[in-house]
Amino acid sequence: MAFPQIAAFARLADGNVAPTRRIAGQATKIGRASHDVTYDEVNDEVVLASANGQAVITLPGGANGDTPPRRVIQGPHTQIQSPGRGATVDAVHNEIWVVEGRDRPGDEYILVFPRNANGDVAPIRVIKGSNTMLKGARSIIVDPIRNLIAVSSNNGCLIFNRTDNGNVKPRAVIKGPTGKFRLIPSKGYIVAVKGTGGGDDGDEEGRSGSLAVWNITDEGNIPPLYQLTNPNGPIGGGSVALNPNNKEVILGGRTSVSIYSFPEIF
Amino acid sequence: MIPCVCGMLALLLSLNGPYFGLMRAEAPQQEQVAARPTPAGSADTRKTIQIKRAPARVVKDPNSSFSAVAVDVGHNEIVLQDENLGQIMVYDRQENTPPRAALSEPKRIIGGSATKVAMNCGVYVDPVSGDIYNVNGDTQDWLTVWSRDKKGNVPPTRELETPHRTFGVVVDEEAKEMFVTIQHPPAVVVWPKMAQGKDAPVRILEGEKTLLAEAQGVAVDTKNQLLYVSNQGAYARHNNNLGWSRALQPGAKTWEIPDRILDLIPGTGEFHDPSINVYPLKAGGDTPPLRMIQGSKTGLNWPTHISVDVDHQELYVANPVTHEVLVFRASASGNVAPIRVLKGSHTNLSYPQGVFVDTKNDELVVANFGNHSSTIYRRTASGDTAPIRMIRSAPPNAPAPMFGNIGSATYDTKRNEFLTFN
Repeated sequence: MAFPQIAAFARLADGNVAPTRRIAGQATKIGRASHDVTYDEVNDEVVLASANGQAVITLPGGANGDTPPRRVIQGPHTQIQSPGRGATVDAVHNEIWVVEGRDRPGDEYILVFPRNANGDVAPIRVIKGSNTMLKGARSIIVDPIRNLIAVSSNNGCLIFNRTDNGNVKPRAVIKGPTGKFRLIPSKGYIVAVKGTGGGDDGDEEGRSGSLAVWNITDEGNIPPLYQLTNPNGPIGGGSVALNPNNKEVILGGRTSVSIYSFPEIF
Repeated sequence: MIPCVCGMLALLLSLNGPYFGLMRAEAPQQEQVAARPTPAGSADTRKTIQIKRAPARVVKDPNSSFSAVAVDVGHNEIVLQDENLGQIMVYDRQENTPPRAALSEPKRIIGGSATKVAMNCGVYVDPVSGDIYNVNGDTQDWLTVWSRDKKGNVPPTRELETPHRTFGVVVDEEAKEMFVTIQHPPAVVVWPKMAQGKDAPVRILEGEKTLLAEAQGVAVDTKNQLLYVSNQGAYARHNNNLGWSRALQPGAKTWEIPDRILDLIPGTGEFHDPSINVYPLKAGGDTPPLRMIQGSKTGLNWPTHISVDVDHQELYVANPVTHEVLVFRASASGNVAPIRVLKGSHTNLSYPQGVFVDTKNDELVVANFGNHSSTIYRRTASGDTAPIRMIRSAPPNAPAPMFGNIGSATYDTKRNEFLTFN
């Protein structure tokens, strides 16, 4: 893989277009294997994890070029090991969430940091242990309205209370969403790529069959509320982003981005 | 000022506030709704609302984008890695796309599902046989080797299972040893040149003392028995200081490649300055570098592929972020400036990833990831010098999104932009 970057594109970008800006370079401290990037619209920041540097990086929302981060969580107290799979922000409760998953069954965990943490900071909560059912965890979302978190895993979508700490059982398991997903907080909808959704390192293009939507309060082996398929071929990727302003779902594939209008779910 | 939780929740749920206020709807395309039950209920009663709809827009670069280059000096060909389309492209060495032409057609292309070529980012060409050695950076943990008769969507001549995140490849033709860099956990894995299948490496260079950190390009100087490795800087330590080597069994001819992160020690992550590290050619284990090129004067910024000119004792470094090729004395050490820098609008360099110094023809060949081109210069070119030839795979100024296995996407609601991460 040649070039790690965060590339920004105008909403209506279509076809072969150049990004409006790229965030890349030594000063950014980003690198390959950051499989979750979250825009924090309340604080106008971009948060992502550096798997190789065992760090959580917060960049200015409008960063462009070789821009240094505003904050970096990194160091012995952090417990961060390989956080590339899932990192998100709860701007309501001012917390950053990191899921330590993949390849370490029985030794996976979720770390919660203050959103403004900087440097070698210990997590304020850790969900870890045999009761958690964490296995192959790879995506995390926080529902600040219902005070829940959802983590996709090989054991299904695990739902925890937002304030859980320690070796806790999930309060519910939704069997369907096991890949990457995002949340529509106002509805409580989990928007996921259905199926394995995952493969490894985001190599989902061409293998992802549908976009599926569950309620975060669902439980068990329940069908999705909605399922969107592309009549012309694969859905186009496994990385999900939501554009609530225009009721669109954006899917990142290997070397393409597909944008779907999906007003039914917003 | 930090807003209170109640106020923030109200903001989230407001009509136009962040976190998804309800805005105008857009007409969906090609909608076919199979059923419209109430979207709720239990596993027994819920009926999924099925929607068939094509994407409203697709962003994709249909052109080849070059991530690495090697020259087959024996057969006068330039071999370019097309990471965007997952192909190996072979051009005549003298190819020069006319300014008004849309692109140059390669002599042959290797690519497709049977090839195991994907996210291909490193390449080496056997100077005698012309065999192409392909390294995949992601999704396909195979090094594939291609004899000159291969083209199209066909299986490789041979294939070797590799650790994940390989990047660079080079061969010591005197010792018949093949060197492959692993970005993270960083290592240089050395196999017999003809290794295949699950063959075990003969040695692995890795560990704290090596100061490898996100290893990238690799080059060898067999005359002086030196190994050069470029590094981008992120690093974390392993338990017992053993990474990939923990799977090596003494005397075993094969190995089972271990999990990539299992033994990383939490909280040991660091960001080092980028560097070029120089080791004895036969270094293995936790061997410290003989010297390093590192520091603010070097101008290194995410250095990628490197190439050594043994005859003139110069080291060429692709420096993509600054659109430069840096040239150091091969003997350079410490915080030193390059002796030449190729940079400027006339060079047509754009996110150069690959670099190859062709001493037979006294040329420097570059793979540009940012403008669908390979640019060729006189070996000693410096400053804002135009290339003597240019191979293009797309019209001039064709956009280059530079996608490379998008691992995540998010939406910036303030700027109305979607963001993707490679």
